[in-house]
Amino acid sequence: MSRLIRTSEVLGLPVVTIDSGEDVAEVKDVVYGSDEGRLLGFTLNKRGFLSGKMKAVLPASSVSAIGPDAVMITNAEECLVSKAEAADAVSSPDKHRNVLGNEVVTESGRRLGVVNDLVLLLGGHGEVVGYELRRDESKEAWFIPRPAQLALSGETLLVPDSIDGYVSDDFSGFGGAVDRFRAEHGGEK
Amino acid sequence: MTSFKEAIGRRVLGREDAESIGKLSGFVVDPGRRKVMALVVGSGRKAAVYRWAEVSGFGPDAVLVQGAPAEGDEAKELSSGRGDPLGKRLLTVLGEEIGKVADLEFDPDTAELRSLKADTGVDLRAELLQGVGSYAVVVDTPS
Repeated sequence: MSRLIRTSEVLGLPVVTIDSGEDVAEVKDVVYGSDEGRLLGFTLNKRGFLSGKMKAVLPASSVSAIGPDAVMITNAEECLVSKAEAADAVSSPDKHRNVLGNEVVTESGRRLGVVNDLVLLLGGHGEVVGYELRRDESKEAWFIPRPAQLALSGETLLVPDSIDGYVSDDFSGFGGAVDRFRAEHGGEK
Repeated sequence: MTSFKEAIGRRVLGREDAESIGKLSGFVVDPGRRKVMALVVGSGRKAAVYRWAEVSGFGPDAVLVQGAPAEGDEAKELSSGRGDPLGKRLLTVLGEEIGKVADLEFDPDTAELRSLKADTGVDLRAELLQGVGSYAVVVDTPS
């Protein structure tokens, strides 16, 4: 079963080099590519006493693994790039594509809740496997697999009615729900 | 095999004059070669660093060194603690903390590292070692 992590849990994690065991930065924010269905990269803060924004950014393509305790990169020289070098999307994210806060509505016009968080594959490079949606009345967290997304605008995430079968109100069960959905729908779009 | 933890505090003597230089206070490891690279003797201002090439014998009761300790920038870097794995956070290449480094075993004749032991009791082959730095010791995941 896939092991998962929410992007909110990745914020503030140290960025650590594999070849030299140094915490060279910490995650400030994630940049989501909603068309690609994965993170494009991370903006960074400095570590320690001199903390504050770092000019460099970390493109998702340079990430070795996103873990529960650190984001791993091979080395700082090659993996952290200046905003000028990074692809536009990473350095100046399109605000309209910030899916957090989007309303989740089904094809038959039923509102399920609001997107509260993005769910990533643990150990991956930023693949978004689903959304955490916050239900209005109960404040419950439900998990919706990303392949279920029919359409996405700046305000709304449209999902099929059949999504009900895959919604999980349990994060640990969500990994199984993601695997089932992908298996039945022939893998990710 | 020799344990890092047990060796800390061992007498370090000069091979030429049998004079005491101090006590072994730390190891410096080369994660690329998976070997002990240098020894730190004494602490604070009087700390001296000897590259492994200068170690003529590493016995159960004393360590013998010949030649001169490292100097200048090299000495500063070696004695910075960055290359010392003992007690450090153990982090896998998948970004998961699996404990702290409790001990390491090495071959005192060849300086080759054999294994690392986490404070959780988990033993890791030295081949899994990827990097040692001020934040963590990074290891590949045991398959």
